[in-house]
Amino acid sequence: MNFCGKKINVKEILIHVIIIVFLIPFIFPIFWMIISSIKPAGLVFATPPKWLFQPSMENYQAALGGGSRGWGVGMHQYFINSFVVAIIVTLSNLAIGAFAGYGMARYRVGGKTLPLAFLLGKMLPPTVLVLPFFLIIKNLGLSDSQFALIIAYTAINLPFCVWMSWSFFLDLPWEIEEAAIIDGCSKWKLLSRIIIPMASPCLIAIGILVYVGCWNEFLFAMTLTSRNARTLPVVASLFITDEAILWGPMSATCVLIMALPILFTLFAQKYIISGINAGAVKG
Amino acid sequence: MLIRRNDKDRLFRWFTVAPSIIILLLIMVYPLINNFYNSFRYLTLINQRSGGIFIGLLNFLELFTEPSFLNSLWVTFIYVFLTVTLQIGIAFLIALAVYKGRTRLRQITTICLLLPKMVTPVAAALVWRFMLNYETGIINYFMSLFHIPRISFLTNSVSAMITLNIIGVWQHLGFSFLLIVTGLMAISNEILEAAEVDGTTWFQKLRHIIIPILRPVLTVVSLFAIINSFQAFDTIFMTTGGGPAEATQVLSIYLYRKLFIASSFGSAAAVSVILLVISLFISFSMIRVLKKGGQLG
Repeated sequence: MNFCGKKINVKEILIHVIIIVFLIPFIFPIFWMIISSIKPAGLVFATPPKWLFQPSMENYQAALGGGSRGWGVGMHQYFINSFVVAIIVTLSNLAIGAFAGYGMARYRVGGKTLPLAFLLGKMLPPTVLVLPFFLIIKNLGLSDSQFALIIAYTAINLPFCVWMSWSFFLDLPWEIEEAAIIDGCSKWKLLSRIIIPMASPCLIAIGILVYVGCWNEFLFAMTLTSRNARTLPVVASLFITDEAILWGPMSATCVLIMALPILFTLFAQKYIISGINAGAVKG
Repeated sequence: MLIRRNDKDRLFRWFTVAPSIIILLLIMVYPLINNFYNSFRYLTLINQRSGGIFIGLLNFLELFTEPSFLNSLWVTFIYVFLTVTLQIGIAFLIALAVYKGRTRLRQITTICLLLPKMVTPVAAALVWRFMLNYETGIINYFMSLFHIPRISFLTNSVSAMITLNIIGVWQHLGFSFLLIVTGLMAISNEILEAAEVDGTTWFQKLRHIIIPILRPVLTVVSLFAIINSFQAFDTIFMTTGGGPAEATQVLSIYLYRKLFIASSFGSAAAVSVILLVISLFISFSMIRVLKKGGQLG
């Protein structure tokens, strides 16, 4: 078919339209949450839903003032908790894990069995660790501390970091390093000047996945913390009380929590996609 | 001199992996052993400090005669089966539709499908709960536009399960899609073009070329999807919480209830051991598939 001198493939357009219509439900929940969060309190429940309204920040004010509702520490503390735990876990696991991945890839330390052991660890469902962690942390008197969460998240994420960086280093050309060694480059210099710069795209990809994973984690955050070390997903869950569900402030809180993963997906998708592919295609 | 250098070298080699191994022995292997030990003991909130009493296999025997546990095994199976089949089927169809088309369309599809995967599951579950509300939820409102009667999604055992499946598919579709699209794009054009020259239909091409080539990818994706759904906790906990009654009480929810509502730690440890055995079984079948495909070096 011709249209304005351009050849148009009707079938292709049809496919595009169908796919885009199909994709709407996937982003609608996120869109709807953002819309609800800026509605004035009276309109959150309006049926039929009001599409046009004066945006209001009421819900955000209510959400951020959560501390006054007897939750112990204020909302800002929960943001700090989530951030601190996630960043410490990401950086430390990345450093320790990439180091091991490098050793296994370059020197074949542990042969074929060691990588498999880490793969098994990576596939272990975190649920299995909840009870032992709960008991051990409790008996050590570490309940409700950020340290407990850092330990738990390391157990979940370290095997992932090792495995991912191992599979990545396997694909890196060995020749560049060899040339540097022949030129008399020391091991530590090799690491800082050549290996880390070459590996940085992979390290960023792993880092983003680990960071978002920690930021989103709920099960351990709920079982190991009670008040001071609480992270954001637990705070979101607290809007469901026995008396009522505070949808307005809840959606504002959810938007604040989701903002970070959404921004990562939109602006660092290249890394996320390569990370997911590397983690799965290779095992 | 040479020997000493080699020794140092070997030391360095093991030094690279030592921190990871030590840390994981301490915080992963030790807790698992500890848990295994606890699964043979009568351990509750009260006698927890003294370490409980050894009761042999009683925890396990008790579990396998408990209707509620057997039910949660069954519910987990149904949940995983439905979520994974739906997810792989839909992901495959979308991937087939976009992999040869415009790059832009593929990128948009990837972002739209990846967002639900990256977004905080607890927050996502809360939005779904908000949208599924009987009186004020937007989904019931949309349905009323088409004169479909209101549905109380989360309080009927069948609709609750289906709703959870849909949320699970919504959440994990991007992952399967991404891997399948990557697999499809790796199929060389020559094979497909040769088939076209020979005059095969679209369906024949799919059945005799694309699916056989893609089989290893599909197997890996399915196993990953199984592991993902098997671990599902956040979304179920925040929407139905296992209810109505125990209709959506998957193993992870059952474990949570055993632990924090019944406080019977010994029994919960036994559930954890069973969970571990099932997931090891899935992991080992995955490793076997990967080894067969030559992806494990």
